[in-house]
Amino acid sequence: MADRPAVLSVQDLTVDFETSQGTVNVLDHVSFELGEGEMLGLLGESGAGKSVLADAILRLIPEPPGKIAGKVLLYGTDLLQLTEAELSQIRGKQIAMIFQDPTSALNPVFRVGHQVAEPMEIHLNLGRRSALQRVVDIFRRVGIPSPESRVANYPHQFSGGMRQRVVISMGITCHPKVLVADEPTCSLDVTIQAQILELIRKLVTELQTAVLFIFNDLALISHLCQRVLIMYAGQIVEDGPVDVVFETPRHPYTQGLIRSVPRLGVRRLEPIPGHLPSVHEYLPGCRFYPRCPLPDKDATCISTRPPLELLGVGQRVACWKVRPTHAQ
Amino acid sequence: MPSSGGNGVLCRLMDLKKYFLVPAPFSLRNVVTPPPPRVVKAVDGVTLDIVRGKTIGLVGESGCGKTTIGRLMMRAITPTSGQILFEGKDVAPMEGGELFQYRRQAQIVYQDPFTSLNPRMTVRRIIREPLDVHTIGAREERDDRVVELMRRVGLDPRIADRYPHEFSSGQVKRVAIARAIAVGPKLLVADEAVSALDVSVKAQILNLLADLQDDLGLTYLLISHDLGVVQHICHTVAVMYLGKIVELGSAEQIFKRPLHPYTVALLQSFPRMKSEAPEFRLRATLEGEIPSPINLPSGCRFHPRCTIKRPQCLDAEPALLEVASGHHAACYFPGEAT
Amino acid sequence: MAAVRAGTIDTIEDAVGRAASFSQRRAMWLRFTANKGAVVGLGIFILFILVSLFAPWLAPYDPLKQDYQAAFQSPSWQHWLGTDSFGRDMLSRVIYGNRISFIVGFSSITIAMVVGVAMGLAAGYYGGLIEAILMRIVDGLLSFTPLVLAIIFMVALGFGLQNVIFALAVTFIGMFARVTRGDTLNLMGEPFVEAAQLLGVSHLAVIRRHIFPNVLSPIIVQFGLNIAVAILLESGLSFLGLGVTPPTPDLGLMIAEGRGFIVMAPWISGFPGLNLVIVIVGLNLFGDGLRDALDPKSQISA
Repeated sequence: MADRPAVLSVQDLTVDFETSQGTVNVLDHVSFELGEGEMLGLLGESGAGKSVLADAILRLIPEPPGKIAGKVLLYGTDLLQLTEAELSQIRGKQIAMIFQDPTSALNPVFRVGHQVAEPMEIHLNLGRRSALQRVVDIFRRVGIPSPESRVANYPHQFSGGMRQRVVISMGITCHPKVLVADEPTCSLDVTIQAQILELIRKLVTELQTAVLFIFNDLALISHLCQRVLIMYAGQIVEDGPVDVVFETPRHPYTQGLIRSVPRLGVRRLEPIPGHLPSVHEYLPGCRFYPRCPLPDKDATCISTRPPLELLGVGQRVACWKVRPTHAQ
Repeated sequence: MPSSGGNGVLCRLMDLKKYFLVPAPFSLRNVVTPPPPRVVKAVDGVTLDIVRGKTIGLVGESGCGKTTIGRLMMRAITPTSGQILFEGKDVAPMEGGELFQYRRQAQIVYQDPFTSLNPRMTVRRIIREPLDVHTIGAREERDDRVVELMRRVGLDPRIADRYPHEFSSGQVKRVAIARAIAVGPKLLVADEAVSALDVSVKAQILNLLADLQDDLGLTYLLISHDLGVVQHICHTVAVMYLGKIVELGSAEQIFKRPLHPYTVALLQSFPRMKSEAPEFRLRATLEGEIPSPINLPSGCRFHPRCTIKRPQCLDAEPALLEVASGHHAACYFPGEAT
Repeated sequence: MAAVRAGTIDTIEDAVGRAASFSQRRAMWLRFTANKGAVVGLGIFILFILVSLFAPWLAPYDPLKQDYQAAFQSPSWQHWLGTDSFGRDMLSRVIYGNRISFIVGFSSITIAMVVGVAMGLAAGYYGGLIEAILMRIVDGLLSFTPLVLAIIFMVALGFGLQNVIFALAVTFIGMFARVTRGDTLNLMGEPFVEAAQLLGVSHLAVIRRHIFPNVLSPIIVQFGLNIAVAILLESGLSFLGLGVTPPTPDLGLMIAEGRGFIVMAPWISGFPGLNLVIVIVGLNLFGDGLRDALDPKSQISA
């Protein structure tokens, strides 16, 4: 568990969708805490549900056909119980999101200054002039050169890296307490990615914002985040301090992922056979069962879902076979 | 001639150049007498040996020219000047029947598994098409060959009559690989071929590619921005910047003892697992944007962003010279950047 | 056959398990049938085709046979739809009128489709001079309102069934060409098209195997919708006296013939008119339903 006061506390978050083929479960009792100023990494492959989690936290999921259960407590207030009006006060001001693709996060027909100023005008009641001045300051802070003239530019006049800086600016304008960054650098070149991540790290330390990073890259998380959540098929299967989880992974999925990371001097890797099941194929018990290499997996694994349990030093694992005593 | 030595050379690129013309931007001032189109020097003098049976990686960021080299190798475009000597014969001017024969020798695997396959064709038809086009084997035997290819890439032959969209990205990537090796090529150009895949699927496909290389003696040209994949699967690595090779060497040399300041910066931006590189710290040492190949700086192309630049770097471009055995760098002060 | 190494094969359950998901065709059918209007449209369409094909067996009387004694009869048991000013049975004439509309509609649109799609494919695939020339022709055709263009052709060529078909065909070539070219251009950017070219597949084969099947859906929808317009145009031309010539039973002609008697014998214009409306509305519903059903599925991704 986090050793700082929790800013965001997600409890038993469950998301189902009504489809023409019945109800499918996309997130299953996801629980975790995010401490003040902490950088938490969410690692999961496509189909694991990471973007759904981000959208669920910010209540961006259309509610039919979606059905959300559980609690999302931001400083004690349950976001899932708020009305849309109350939510719009909170989104952008106390909790903000940085999206994957800077091109689609920005409206091409408005100047960037206007777009970045908007949340401040709404939430902080600033006039256009003072908001724009703040935008110039923020642009300077995020490393956009000649900010005074750049505020009048349109998104297409920026390169990919600069555009992402604009998106980041939009996210931090009101100094939110929580930032959700959904693969914020996936479309960027590696040297630009390093710049952006260093920038985020610097800002986060200055503003004491808590960040939930969503990534598909283990090494990146290991260098950026203090704690990591491993997601598989809509469930958290392991979490804990990033060094502990990556050095002594306990869940077979995490172990498999680490063995899958390509490295120098090794000709063959030991990947996990098969692929992520589709939402229609989830077992009632452990969803990783079909691909699990453990020799002693059994009927309990198929029928009953393993709970996420503490295994020492803040590491939690959801596996029947990785506990001091087995369940019956 | 830079070469990383060893067995026969399958393909030799000789001073390859590809320039594109980009029309000048429209503006009211220029309507009457428009300025001349600008020249984008996508590839500006690349000389490289591709060794048979090995994997060579081209790495670099946007605009470095690595994708263009892949397309030149595939003869999707023709070079502005220079030669592509495939088994001694220049591919660049080939036409007609000769070009058709070359198509059997070199195939490509693209980045996105789904858009690289015709959504209206079944897996069987997709893999069979190359066999039909090049009349490989007797017509009656081709379906058997499709089954064989599917097994070789790890696909259950029972899925042959389904469509690509019904499968996961890993399976679709295998179909694309099966199609590529169907004609029995000597060279496979992997254009970010594993970049769009998840971690565990990527590992499966990397293993498959290694198996195929060992079994079939394939030569790979891997174009990738993902340094993790490059360090794993490549024997030789060429680092490109703004259309030229700035460093060339074995994977071990490039990743353990980088010489060119750009390579050094690139490696500092590339996160590695702590178990592998415990002292590594993610750092952004390179400032500024990636320049475009339209307005090239004088002298060494990298000097505007270089941490160790000296006056002579602005005068003339450094040549790609052998600094250690098989390890080349285009820098006046190789090995000095940290 | 090389032995498959561990770690590279997907389990058989994985591969075959995907079969549990719906096939594309079935999903399309379900979407189509959920749309009530589309189903009604399909029903009308099928009825239209059947009536047209089996006209000789369905029509109780010879549509051309005149009988002055029986003229201007209102609908009765002998003449379900009444008779016209020449004593001809309206039911038979309407049935045969459908046949003419069917023949004209299908032939002209089919010709337009074949020629237009070929032009669109060539223009989109080859580009350059070929595209420039073909598209200028298309632009020329499309710069006229279809009715005006058809009238011009009929005046130039003379009247009669064959010329009507030709005129309408030329009118619609432009629409098919433009839609096809647009979709072809989109496809040209996809890697699988280039992959086929880099395999050594000939240009014609690439168009046939890779481009054409993927531009088919919108063309089929265009086909359905354009038939409705063609039928309407044909009736319009005939109504104006610029289409088929009397005594051919044609819905447009019949409406024109009945104009003078609209008060005393409204059925002479009325039934052909009603028939026309039903056919066209039905075809439109069907075409719209087809377009909605062929749209790519929206999927929820995690």
